[in-house]
Amino acid sequence: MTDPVIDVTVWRERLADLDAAEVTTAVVVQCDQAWLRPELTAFRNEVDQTLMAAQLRHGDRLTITRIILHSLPLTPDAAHRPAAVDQAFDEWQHRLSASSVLLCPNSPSAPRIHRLILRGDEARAPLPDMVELLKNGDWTDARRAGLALRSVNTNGATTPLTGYDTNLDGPFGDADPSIYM
Amino acid sequence: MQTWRQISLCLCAVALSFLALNHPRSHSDIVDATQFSIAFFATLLTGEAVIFALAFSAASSWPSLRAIDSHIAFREWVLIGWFAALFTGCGLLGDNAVSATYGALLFLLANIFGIFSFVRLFGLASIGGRNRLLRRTLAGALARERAGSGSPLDKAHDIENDPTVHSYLSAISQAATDNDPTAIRHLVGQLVEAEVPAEAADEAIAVHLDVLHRLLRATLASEADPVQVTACAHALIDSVIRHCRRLPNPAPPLGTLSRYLAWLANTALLMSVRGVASNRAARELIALTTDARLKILRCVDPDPKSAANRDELGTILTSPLQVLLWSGDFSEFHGAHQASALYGVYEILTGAKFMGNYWDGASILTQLRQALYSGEDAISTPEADAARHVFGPVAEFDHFWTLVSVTALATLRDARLPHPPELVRPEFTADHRLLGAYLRTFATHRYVTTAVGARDALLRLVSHADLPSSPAAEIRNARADHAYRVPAPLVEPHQRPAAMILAIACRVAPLTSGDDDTELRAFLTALSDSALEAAARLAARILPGAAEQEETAPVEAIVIGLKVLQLVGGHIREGT
Repeated sequence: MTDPVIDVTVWRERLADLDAAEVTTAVVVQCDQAWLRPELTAFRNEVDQTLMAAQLRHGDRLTITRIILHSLPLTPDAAHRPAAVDQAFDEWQHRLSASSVLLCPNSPSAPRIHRLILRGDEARAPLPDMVELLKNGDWTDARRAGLALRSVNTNGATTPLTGYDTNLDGPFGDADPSIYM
Repeated sequence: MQTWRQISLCLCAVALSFLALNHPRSHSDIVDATQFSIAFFATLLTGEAVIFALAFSAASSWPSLRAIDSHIAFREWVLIGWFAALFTGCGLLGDNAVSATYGALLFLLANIFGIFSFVRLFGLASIGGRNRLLRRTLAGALARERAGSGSPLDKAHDIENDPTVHSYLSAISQAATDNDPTAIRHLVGQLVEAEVPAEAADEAIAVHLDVLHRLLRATLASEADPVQVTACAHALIDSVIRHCRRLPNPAPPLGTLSRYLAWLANTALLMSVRGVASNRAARELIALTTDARLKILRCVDPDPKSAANRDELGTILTSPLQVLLWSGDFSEFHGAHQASALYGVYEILTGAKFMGNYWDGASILTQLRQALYSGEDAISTPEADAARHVFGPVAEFDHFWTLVSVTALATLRDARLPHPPELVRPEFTADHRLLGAYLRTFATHRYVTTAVGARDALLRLVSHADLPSSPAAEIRNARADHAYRVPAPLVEPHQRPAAMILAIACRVAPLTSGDDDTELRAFLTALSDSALEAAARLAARILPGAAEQEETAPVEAIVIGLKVLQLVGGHIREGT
């Protein structure tokens, strides 16, 4: 499968390398709105599951830093965006925080997911999408990885996805269906 | 009918004008004739007023006077009288014989038409006649609504805004609030007997469900007579099923009704236990829901255990997607007969009958999985091919049924609440074995056996968004075309993380008392503390025995709670 924005083959190769002993750090940026297209849902699921599974397998040995958008751009063009895209974005964030909260027993080994904040006039993220690995002390692309890590370290550029507000219990009506009366 | 009547009236008026032009009468002839005509006109008018005053009540004239007027042609009749008086008066004053003659002739026409109107009004003086008119009016409004309906999301809103439907629903609410059983019976009769065209069946179902909820809510909250209301509710449910048979995709309304009934039973129990609703009302409603769900099940099951009529032989659902949509809805809110429902699901999806017994340890979902995905041994009937096409790979099959079990688990009844004996019905009891049997239908679907496998399954469950071609996404699309106004909104499984943990945990939990629970414990201890606490909270609510351990030992609470699975199965038979 190839996509004009996301080179699926390269992504798969890099993600497969996460299990290699010499890989200690990974930086993954998924800020393009193409990730929310229905035809990329399967691959987005695959990336999310691969990253979380790798984190669960390797624990503290592997540090994964992920960057996604904090919210979708609100430029005048956004009015024409289908509601399904916003829905998919909200669901994606919910699933990412829920999987971290459920499956990572201690927070230091959980994937660090940062949400990039766009300015009001920005139509797209200033960062390119990437999956960069630190192998034996060398980045697969040091410039791109540096760009991403600088964003994370810049005060106010990103905000972490903490999952503190994830409702694990489900809606209140499950326990008391009579409230729907 | 009304248009033809008006056209013929106009033609008569034109013909009379030619007659008046060619044969004008003398002044005295016209005065004499008009005196008789007016006397008769006044008699008819008085007669109609008396019948109106004696025969009509607020409940029987809900669509407004306009509908009755168009039925008895009152306006046309009075209009001709007015023209007649005008022409006669002007003709006599202006000494115009043609005008006065025309007026006198119009008076005769008005009297002939008045008799027609009087006879029509007499037809409405009886309750049967009025109900016939109101049925026709309601059917017309629903058909009109169908013709002008916009997007499906606005449909429920639009139907209620239709003046006729709005008046009807107001009349229903008023009758329910006044606890007037006769009015309720007549109003429900008008709806269920309305001859709605097949293309407006969906709109008719939406109104049926709305009326059903208004009546049942009034029974629980405003103490409307439960016996009368349940009789009407049975009529409404039968009518919904009849309309469903005319729809190309009956699964969304049938699923909505099944789900609503399960919700209603739980709500009636809760409100009764809290003293908000009378136990008599709760008892009648719970009996209604279990009976009605069994009726729905008989319509769906291609080979039901029993059939009340010929319609119940064969299935109402014709495609795999329809049966998947319905079975998801049917297993929500601890719905009665949910385990038996899987027999029909198996048969529709494979074309073969399931011969096991879930009380005896048989697993319908496991056998369904084998029937569809066991390679060379898989069933190759057209039904099985269609089911495989809908599910896709076996992983999607497992994922789909796990999602169904998430919703089923999250909406189970609170096991800590008392279940008064008067509210016990078949398949609606606090019996732990029944809960165990329901849970086992999902727990025996064991596509994972180890703690690591369970953790991977949970990861997939939490992070896997539905693919556009997946059954869950297709079901969502099918539901989007319908908007029924019922309580208890649909909640996506990913909004229920604690139930996701239990859905996976039950699949590695021991099924007999001698089985090892190491994998279950290993799976649970690998979870985060907050996740475990949330799962224990859910277990304490829905699983018997878990509440005691919830605060101190969440793993223990879940392990003890899931022992409910061991209360049924083949090992119980061996023991006895």
